[in-house]
Amino acid sequence: MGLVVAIAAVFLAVPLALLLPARRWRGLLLAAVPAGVFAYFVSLLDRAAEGRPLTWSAEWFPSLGVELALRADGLALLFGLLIAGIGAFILVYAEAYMAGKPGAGRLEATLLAFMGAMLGVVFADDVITLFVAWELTSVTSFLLISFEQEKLKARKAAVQALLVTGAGGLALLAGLVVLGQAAGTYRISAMSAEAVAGSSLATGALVLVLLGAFTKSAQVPFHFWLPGAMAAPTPVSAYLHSATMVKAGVYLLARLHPVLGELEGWRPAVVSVGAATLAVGAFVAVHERDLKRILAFTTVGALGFLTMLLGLGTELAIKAAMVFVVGHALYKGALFMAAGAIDHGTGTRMVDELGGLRRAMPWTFAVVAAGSVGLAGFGPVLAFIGKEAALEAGLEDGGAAGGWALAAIVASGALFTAAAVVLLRPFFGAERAPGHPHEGSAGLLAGPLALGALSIGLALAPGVIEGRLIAPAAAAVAGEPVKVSLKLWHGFNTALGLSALSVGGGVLLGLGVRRLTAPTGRLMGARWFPSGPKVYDWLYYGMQRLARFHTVWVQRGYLRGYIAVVLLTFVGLAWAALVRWGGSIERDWLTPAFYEAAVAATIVAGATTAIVHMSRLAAVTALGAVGFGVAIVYALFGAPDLALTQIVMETLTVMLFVLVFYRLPKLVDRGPMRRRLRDGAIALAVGVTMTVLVLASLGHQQGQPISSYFGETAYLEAFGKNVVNVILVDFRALDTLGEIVVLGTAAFGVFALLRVRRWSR
Amino acid sequence: MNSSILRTMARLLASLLLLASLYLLWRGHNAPGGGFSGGIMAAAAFVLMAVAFEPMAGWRATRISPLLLIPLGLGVALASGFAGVLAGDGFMAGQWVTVNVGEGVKLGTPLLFDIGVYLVVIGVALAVIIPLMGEEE
Repeated sequence: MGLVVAIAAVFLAVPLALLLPARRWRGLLLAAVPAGVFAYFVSLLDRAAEGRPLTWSAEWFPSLGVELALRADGLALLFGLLIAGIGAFILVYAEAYMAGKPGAGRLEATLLAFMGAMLGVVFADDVITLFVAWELTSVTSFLLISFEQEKLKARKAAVQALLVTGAGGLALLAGLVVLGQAAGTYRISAMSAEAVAGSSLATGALVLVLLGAFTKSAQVPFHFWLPGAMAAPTPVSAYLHSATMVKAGVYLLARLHPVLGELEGWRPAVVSVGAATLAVGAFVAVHERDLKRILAFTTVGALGFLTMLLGLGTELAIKAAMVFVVGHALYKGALFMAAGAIDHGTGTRMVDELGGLRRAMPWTFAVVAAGSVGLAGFGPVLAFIGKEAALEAGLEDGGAAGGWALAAIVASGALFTAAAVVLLRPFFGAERAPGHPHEGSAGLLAGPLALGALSIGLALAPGVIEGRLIAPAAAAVAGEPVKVSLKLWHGFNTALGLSALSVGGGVLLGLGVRRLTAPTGRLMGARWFPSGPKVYDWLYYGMQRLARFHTVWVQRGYLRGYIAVVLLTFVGLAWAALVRWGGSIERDWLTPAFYEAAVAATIVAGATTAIVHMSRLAAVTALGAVGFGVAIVYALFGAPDLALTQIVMETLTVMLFVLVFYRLPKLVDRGPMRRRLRDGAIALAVGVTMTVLVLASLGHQQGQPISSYFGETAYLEAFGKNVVNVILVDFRALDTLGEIVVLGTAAFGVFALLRVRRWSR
Repeated sequence: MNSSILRTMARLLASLLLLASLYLLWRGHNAPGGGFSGGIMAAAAFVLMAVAFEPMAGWRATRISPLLLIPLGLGVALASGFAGVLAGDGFMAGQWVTVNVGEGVKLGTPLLFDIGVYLVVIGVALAVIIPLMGEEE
């Protein structure tokens, strides 16, 4: 129950953020909610470590075996602590960043909604619960990226992120359902790897789930949406795109590793995609000049790194991944917030326009220094421990996957180091900035300083987290108990040597980055280069062009054409059914009573007049005569309700026609003979078909008619003597409700169209 | 339309039509009538006003804007369905009370539902017809 309360508390803070006035304490007050949730999660750690995690579940769709289920094991708590802990700092930071600007409350409210959704993802123990929360994170992140909605760039980036992650989400939904079918349960903790591996659905589930995870975690070739999402305000980037949302895909891989990790395709697919993402992210990062974009691409790289480790799936690799998740969230969150502080203090984020900031912004400098050490992965920071473990995992593996992983880590380590050097550059040299550089406020600095300090502090005293946090999380991923002992200093070994080598190379690369990256930068900037955003645009606009072509081709805009298609379809289907099932026509209709014949004659006369008369008004009135004739037929054959409705309806319809036709020009020409013959043929076909159909259906009674049941029960159960009305308002009231909703909606549509015409004049 | 005969008669006829429409609505459960035909007849009354005077006169004569009548009617119809939920019989299950007037009259949520239909139909008919008439202004 506590878990539900914790997640609900975050959602309940959403309206609070909207209602509270914009004061400096609002951020602190709101941050108290995730801070409290954080403390609660800490208290759950011991239970998870002892292997009896807190769980909660409620029935949702019992007939489908779907539940609302939550489970706080080590992995969920590790991510939950990051989400709540960093979220608290982000809320304080967001308040300071927005500095009372309008919309600050909306930003914080959306951040909280996102936080709640994200907690839902990591604590969900039922795949459908997980999926719903997953989609909610996509939607809230769409709102966050498009926060500055008056900017085209922000809207475009938001749509892009939504389309990519949304498409992945669809694949994931299918994948999770297939997985549930293969495993025989939707409960993640109850799934067994053997059951899934033995099912013929396993490969399908794996491919679909991986698609979902890869799109969410910005893996190659879907990585491009993440740098695009940097259009969001910095608090959003710092939260969504470093610590939490993009890690949802990594989380999913970790969560399903015990179930899917042994499948044949897992290792090659996940390792290669991860390694490619790591390489691409790191490579592009050194070409960027905007602080946030540098950070975005290094984040892409880090996500690839984590994916690759989970693909390797050895105990050491999993431990490394868990340590790195925490280490990366700390240093990257700090760096993003520092980038926002630099933007705030100087008015730009372009490294080439900045210099000598270390005197004007000493605290920010301290944060960036600590963060850069983390990015380079060499020094007393938690990320370093994770990276060393990853190198050892690569060395230990021995296989081809391990070798590739090792190469990717060493190469990208150098590139990350170069990126770190680029990040540090604005703080050295002669002072240079577009505005007058000044240090950020306490609210802007508190978060990054705390995260930077934690990144170093946890590295110096890893004992604090190794047993309580990392070990249970790693155990949940490995699917078996794992012993973890973390040390900052492992002595001189191969991993350290490789690290030193790549970092040394990276520093040299970083110092000469401008000249060294110029040729490749030109290459990637070339018009023919198939970069992610270009391919996306091509697909996006191509789809719109296809839709336009299709619309022009199918939707010609001639009412006559649409009606002809509908009627001819009807004729074709009706005759197909008649030929297929046959039917007999009885003859007694040939001898009508004289009043029946009179009504029929009236109807025929009305219809003929409508066709031959050249005045529209006369034609409409003649059609009215047809309608009233039909009403009399209803009355004669015992359907007074229908007759009544037909009469009032006919009155209004004639009026409506008159009103519309009144405005039309005089009818001077009926069009070419050929068209008239064609239309006449269609009309005749419909008339003949309808007649045959009605006559055939008379002698074609199938099953017991329901009318007698309604007739018997109408008064007994619904106290009504008018069976038609009883059906409408009682027996089938839900249908009627649906119909009047449609009617009402259509009326609003018609009204809007008519008004638009009036206003545009 | 400029006809003083029509103007003189319009108010009277419209009132009669409205009364008749309410009668149709009320008796619908036991005899031909109901919310749909009643609603159309009421709409005809307002359209008559619009034809006799000017389009906006028909629009205003409903007092509550036809555009509001639509959601109002939907709300009434929907609300009638929840009576069954409250009684524990499920959504849209009819609930009845007997009022002791004369022989005793049974009143139930289906009538409430039909009133909702009646309101929606008036709103829909007027929202479509009156703007068509008024377009010339």
